[in-house]
Amino acid sequence: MIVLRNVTKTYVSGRSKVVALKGVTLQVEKGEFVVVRGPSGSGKTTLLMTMAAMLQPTSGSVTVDGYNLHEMNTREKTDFRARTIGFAFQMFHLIPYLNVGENVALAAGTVGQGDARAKARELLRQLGMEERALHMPSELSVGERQRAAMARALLNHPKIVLADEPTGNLDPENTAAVFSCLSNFQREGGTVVVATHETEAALLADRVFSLRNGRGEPGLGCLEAVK
Amino acid sequence: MRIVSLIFKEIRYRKVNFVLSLVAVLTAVALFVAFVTAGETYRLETRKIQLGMGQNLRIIPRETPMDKFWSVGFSEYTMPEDYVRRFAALEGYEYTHLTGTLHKKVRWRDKDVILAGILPEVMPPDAKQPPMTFSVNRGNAYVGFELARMFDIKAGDKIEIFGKPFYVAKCLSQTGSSDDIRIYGHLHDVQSVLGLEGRINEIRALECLCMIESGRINLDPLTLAQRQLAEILPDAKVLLLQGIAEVRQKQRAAMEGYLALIMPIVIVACGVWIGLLAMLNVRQRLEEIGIMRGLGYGSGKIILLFLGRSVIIGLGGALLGFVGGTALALHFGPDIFKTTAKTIEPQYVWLLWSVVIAPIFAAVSSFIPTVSAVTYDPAITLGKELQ
Repeated sequence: MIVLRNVTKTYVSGRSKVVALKGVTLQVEKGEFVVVRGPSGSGKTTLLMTMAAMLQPTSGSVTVDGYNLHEMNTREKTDFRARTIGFAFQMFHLIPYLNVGENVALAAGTVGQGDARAKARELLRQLGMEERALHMPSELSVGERQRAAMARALLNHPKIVLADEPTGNLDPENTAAVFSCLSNFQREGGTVVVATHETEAALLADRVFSLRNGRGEPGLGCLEAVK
Repeated sequence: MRIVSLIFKEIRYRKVNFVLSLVAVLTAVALFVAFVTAGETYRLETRKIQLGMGQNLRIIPRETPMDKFWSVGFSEYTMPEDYVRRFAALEGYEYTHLTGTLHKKVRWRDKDVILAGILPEVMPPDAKQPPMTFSVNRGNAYVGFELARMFDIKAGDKIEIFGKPFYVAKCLSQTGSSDDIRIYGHLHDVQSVLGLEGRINEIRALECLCMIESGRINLDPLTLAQRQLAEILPDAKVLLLQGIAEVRQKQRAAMEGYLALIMPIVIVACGVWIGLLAMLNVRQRLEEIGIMRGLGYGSGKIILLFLGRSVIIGLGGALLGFVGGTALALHFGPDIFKTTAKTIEPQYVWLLWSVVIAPIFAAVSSFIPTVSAVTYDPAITLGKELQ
């Protein structure tokens, strides 16, 4: 279970301050599929990275399965991310000198490990990318990179998948493939939090959490089921 | 290990950075290896020079009074010409120039003249250098400047010295020394004129090198030369021309000083070079570091990625640098250290040291960039996409 309590995140750059999250409170149950929805700049990515212990909130707390992430030291956070989180980044962040299969297997902590490779191949097959496994990221389309990033997030069978705009560059067919993957993951007991500004994604979610200007959407409430 | 595979893939992807880093280590190692490889020879040569080997010797008749010798410039006594041959045949004693001379002050055309007989230079069997002293053909004479001027002698003239005719092959230019009143001829001609057949009054042996006792560093050079020559040249005494050897020794000391100054500069420059390239590499890989952190890669693995790369650069640089440095020493060393050229050979102990030290050197040089990579906050890179 993920619990955010009154989380505020302020970015300071020189004299300017940007408050990305303003007192956000959110609870995601184990096995839930939650969509975080909002326009660009609303704080979706900041919210996901805070959940992944990649950002320290300015105030408030984030706990996962009872552990306060931001009381952990660097090593504990690293372990936590390795064991618990699968993160699909909006910008894909594929490593340019590894092929697609190796990029996906990278999440296992060891590149090219036999078992990880087999898992990577299976995930790529599910995402329609099997034939691209040996291609370099520079040889992929944007949509293919996004699916490769999604496969990498799912590789380790994490407890939680955090996906930032995973279908932003995909056609309807590939979008369906990605959400099918995430749905399968949820059915197997995983928790999914997807940040998107697409309305369609909400149809697949158990709940939708709306963000606007760093705050939970007042009209909907901080936690509001849309199903 | 899989990290190794990751390192090699990154190296293959960013070849230019890797090659430039490799060149930095290679340069440092090559210069160092060339220095120490040639330096071994250099030390041997210096030691021999310090021993008095590689010295210029003047060998004169034993009974020569030194006050007269120095005031006149040559001995009034003579010794057998055969001493030249004996010296040349002395085993374990090398030289580059060896000649016997006979000088005698005479009255000629009512003037004081020095007759100088010169034996053509005796060259070592494997001589690489041309003769240092001039030689005069039989029947010929070289006339000193002052004599030529006084008697209006020109090249091509015929002169007679104590009844023996000579062809003036050359009139010498002014030297401002006693050479201006000298007439040079072949040793045997001068011996004949003076009635001193088979006699000389000086042997000059230049750049002598004792190959037998070079290891005896405590021996006084003059004593060593005197002792070695006493048996074969019993009627001779040995003088040592220190000046030239001292100048050479100072030149070599200066060279060593320059190298001692240059090497640290080269090493520091290469270290900074590697460090800057490592910093560039880290900057190029910020996204990669961020994503690996995000995927749960710990500091240890990220350190391994960067230090492993540095170690590979160090190892590659060490191997190539050793080969390059040794090649430099073997190629250029013999031209620099002529007398001990044969002793220049690969110093394999430095290969071992290179493969140990160069990776450490590369790792230390890239230490700060590596630390910055390890402590890098993934959110900074991934923050590009924060909304």
